[in-house]
Amino acid sequence: MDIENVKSQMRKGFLEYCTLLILKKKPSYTSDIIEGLKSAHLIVVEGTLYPLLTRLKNDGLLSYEWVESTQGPPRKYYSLTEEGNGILVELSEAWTELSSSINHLNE
Amino acid sequence: MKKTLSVNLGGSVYHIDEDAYQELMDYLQDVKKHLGDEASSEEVLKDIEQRISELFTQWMQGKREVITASDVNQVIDVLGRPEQYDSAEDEPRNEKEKTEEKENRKEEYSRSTSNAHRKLYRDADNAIIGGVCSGLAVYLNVSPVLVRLLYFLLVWFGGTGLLLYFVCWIIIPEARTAAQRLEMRGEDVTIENIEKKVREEYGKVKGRVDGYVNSNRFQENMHTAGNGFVEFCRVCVKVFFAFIAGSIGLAGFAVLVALVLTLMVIWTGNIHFATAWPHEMMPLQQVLTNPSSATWMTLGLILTIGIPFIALFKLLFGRMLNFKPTSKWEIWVGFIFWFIGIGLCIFFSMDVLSNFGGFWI
Repeated sequence: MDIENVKSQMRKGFLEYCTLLILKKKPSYTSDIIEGLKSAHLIVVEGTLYPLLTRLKNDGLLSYEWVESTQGPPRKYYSLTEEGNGILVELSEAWTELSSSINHLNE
Repeated sequence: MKKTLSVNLGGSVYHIDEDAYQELMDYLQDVKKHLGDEASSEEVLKDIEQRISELFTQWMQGKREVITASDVNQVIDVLGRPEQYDSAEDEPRNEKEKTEEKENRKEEYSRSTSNAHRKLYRDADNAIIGGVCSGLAVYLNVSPVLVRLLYFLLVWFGGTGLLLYFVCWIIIPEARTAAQRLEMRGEDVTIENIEKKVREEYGKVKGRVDGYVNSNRFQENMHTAGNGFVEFCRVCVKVFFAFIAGSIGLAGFAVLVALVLTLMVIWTGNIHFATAWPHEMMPLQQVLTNPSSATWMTLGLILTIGIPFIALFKLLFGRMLNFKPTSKWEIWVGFIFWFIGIGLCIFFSMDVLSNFGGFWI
């Protein structure tokens, strides 16, 4: 078994979930999301987020706003749509279930 | 000093070092490839470019002017290489990428182990002379250096190799088309492989041409060639003029010699070749009414003929022999004496003629 591969697969699985969680708190820009993930000990490179965010947006879970910035080009601030909120609730339920299964097996 | 280019990143302009530009280009190409052909890829790329642009602006802080390779490296660190993307993609795509990678790996193995379908060709791309050793090396899957070394030793110690090499050169075909090149390495001749090969070749040639044309060496060579040509022209012109000058000088010298001889004849009247002269030509002394006029005549001749030739001589060879430049008074004196000479000649010729009346006619 390739442990690194499995670990990476596990992380990939809930990266979207984590992103949605962060965006639920407040509309955020890529940098903010990276910070949020870092605070949860999830280290990813910024490049990961761009395709991910765009995909979620195209799927209707996110929307964005352009905000002017003094530090250069305008930034995209993402936030959850109603649909996004709904998905997040579902994912939270799924997570709780998974979590309890693991906990049960660990006993 | 480095060359910089201007780039447009997400709508802002930046100055970037040439090498940094290349690296950034390569990185963005990698990212683009990784994102594939989805409709969203363009948008993602734009987002990434904008982020890069933001980072650059932050790091420049209005003080620095140029983006360097180290900046680009930092950007790559922050954004990560495409391979590092931890994206939760749909299963199907993941599977596809994985199987693709496996296939690539298999191809590499087959490249290095399977000999089953290899054909012996001459490898013209890696050839030193005719590509015989390179082609052989590819066929046997060893380093061409080894083959060349063995061949060299064979020739040096055995003395048999040269003719064999030429025979091989003639017999073994050159791998010209992409399909042949693939066969040479035992790769499958498929459309994809051919396309890959063609792209590789194109990239290689373009890189070489670009590198050469843009390199300083090319420009230096052009300058040297241009200068060389101009120098050659100059030398040609110099030789030409030297030739003409030489001819005139020689002619002038010949005339001077003739003049001197003539003078000798006139003065002495008995240099033995004077007797060969036709009878009517008497030594001038006897002809003139007044012996002293012979002196004058002589002087006149010297001046009239000699001065122009002296002047010519000075003109042509003066610079070469480092004479002082001709001063104005030299010129005036020269002219005056020349005219005096002419005058004398004319005067005393009249004198001589008047003696003969109808004799000459």
